[in-house]
Amino acid sequence: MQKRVLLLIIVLVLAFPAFAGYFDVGITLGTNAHLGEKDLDPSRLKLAWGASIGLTDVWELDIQANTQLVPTFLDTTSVSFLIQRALLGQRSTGGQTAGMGINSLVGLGVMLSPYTLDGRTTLSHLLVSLTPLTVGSPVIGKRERALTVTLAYNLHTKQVGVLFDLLKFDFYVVGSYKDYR
Amino acid sequence: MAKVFELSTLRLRVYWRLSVKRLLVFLVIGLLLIGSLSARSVGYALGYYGQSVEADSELTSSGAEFSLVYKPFNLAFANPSVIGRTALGTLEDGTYTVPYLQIGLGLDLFRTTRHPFNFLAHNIIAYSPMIGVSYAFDPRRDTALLALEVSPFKLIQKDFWYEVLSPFFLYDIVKGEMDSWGFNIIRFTYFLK
Repeated sequence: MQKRVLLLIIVLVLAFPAFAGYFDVGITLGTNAHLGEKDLDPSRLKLAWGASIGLTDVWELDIQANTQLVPTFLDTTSVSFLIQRALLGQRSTGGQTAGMGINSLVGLGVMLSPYTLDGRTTLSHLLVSLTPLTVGSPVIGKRERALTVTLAYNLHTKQVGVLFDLLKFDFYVVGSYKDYR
Repeated sequence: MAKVFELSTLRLRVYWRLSVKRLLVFLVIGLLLIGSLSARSVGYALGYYGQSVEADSELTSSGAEFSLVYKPFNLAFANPSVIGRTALGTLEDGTYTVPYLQIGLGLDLFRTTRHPFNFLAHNIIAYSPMIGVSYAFDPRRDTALLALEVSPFKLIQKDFWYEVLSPFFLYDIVKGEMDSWGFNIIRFTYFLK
């Protein structure tokens, strides 16, 4: 199962930019809270970090690690992979035109984490995510994502938890206006 | 004799309180007068904190932090500010809690635009790490604490401060041990004037 998911992600990463001609990479930094699974994850404050990879003008792949800061500093880390689609138009124009400054994202994905019955880090959750508000775009070079709610179905406990990301920033190092001059 | 002693002690206390009050009034008036010379000096902040209480793990909480900031000067080195903070968070069981009330001093160590974080903003932004020391009060335990804070990743513009991953430590002076620690994962400060 894990191999298949990884293979799928690799294929998507490699295939989309080659066919669509849109490609951008942003560094993600922000906050994360894991709710509803306190027995498995007693964290109170988490740092979200990772990368947002533009696959087409409306599709993107978000790889996000969530590292616990409180109550135990750098204790556990989960990694989520989300394929997301922009709902309010192009997320990137692939040119010098700024395009949509405000957008929403909806996505599906998986999470690898130690939040399992035996505490072993493995494929643990299926994810459905909604980001109601994004401000900025890859072309501008910066984007904020606010109030992301992700339903996380735990494959091991058969329970549903919630991931809540109050605020995340994407700082684009590839695919901003600087690359389209 | 005892009554005379008590009276003189009482008088001393009253004088002491009056002189401290006078000093505080003078300080506030002085800061306000100097502050009016600068363009922006009074601001408020919103942050996201997490606090781990070593003495009682059940008091570990996370939530929103609110601050008021007064910045009378605009110095390139050792720029001071007076900061009052409080927070509203939730405990492990979801109960709301006010983990601390703080009043203290922040010090921007230096300010420079030559730093590796300019790619984070559209315009050139200054880097200005800060250290802070505050009197803190935990209303849940009626405990007075000494708060130490570091903002190693603080970026500033004319009317904004952006702080990321700022650790803080609350020290119990009476017991001589660290009471709690935590992080402000993100904090925005906006200066009204």
